[in-house]
Amino acid sequence: MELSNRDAWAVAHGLVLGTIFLLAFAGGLAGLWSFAWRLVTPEGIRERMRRLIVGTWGMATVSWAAVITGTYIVYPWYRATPPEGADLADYPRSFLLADPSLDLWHKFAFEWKEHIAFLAPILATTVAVMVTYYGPRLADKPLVRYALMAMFAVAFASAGIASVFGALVTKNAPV
Amino acid sequence: MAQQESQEVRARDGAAAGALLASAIGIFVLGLVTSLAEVISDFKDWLKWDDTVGPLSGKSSLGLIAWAATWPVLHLLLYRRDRVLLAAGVISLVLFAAAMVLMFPPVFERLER
Repeated sequence: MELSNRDAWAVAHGLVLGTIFLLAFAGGLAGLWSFAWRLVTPEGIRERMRRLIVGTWGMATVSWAAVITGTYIVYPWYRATPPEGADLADYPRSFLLADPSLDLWHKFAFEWKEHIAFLAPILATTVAVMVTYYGPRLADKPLVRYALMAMFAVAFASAGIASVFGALVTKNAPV
Repeated sequence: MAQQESQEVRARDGAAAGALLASAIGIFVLGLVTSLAEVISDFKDWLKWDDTVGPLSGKSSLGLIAWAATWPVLHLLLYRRDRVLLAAGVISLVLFAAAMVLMFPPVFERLER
């Protein structure tokens, strides 16, 4: 069993970073949802605030790492143009486009994934900055918390779409 | 006194409104350039800011620049205001929905020339 350089980066991008982001989402959402004076004591607010700041900044960092490694390390291998007579199995995009039964994996799945993935770092960073800016005042601002939860949910959905399509495309045409 | 005023300003929802709007603008710009790139081939070529990544490098960078550039401006405009989050939310929802349409492959591929 051997893991090539490309395999290792694909695993780091999708399996490690993508999975961490998706798993952390539930914790972040629950933290924001329950961050209210009626649910938590002042001591609890202080303790949860620290956790929320660390958690949201962690998620923002992971989403940036996933998008940057995906775009600037893994994606160039995926979209590389094959030289004349090359084995298309080494050039995933060309491999998919050459087969009419597979071309939608690129034309729909990958094209959507590569764009929508950028929503995750934008929204996760916005949430992290706002959690830090408002601090414990968030407990008094349900509407702000709902807005942050909505942004978090969209970040999760976009990361989910990117992860699922990334995994399915890789299954059909490994990088 | 000044500190108390600063604390009160930080409790207003204007900062969240600015942040929400800026992210919606960044996402809308990403959607817009994704579709525009399919309509204008010269623009698509110009978006190849990184040769190995191709047009995605320019599209994503423009979206991120729009987000990062509008956020401080909107923050300065809105952070002293209160009860503006709902309005910002509605505008953001419209921008976001438009971006989702413009970024959806069956839509932008239909625009391809």
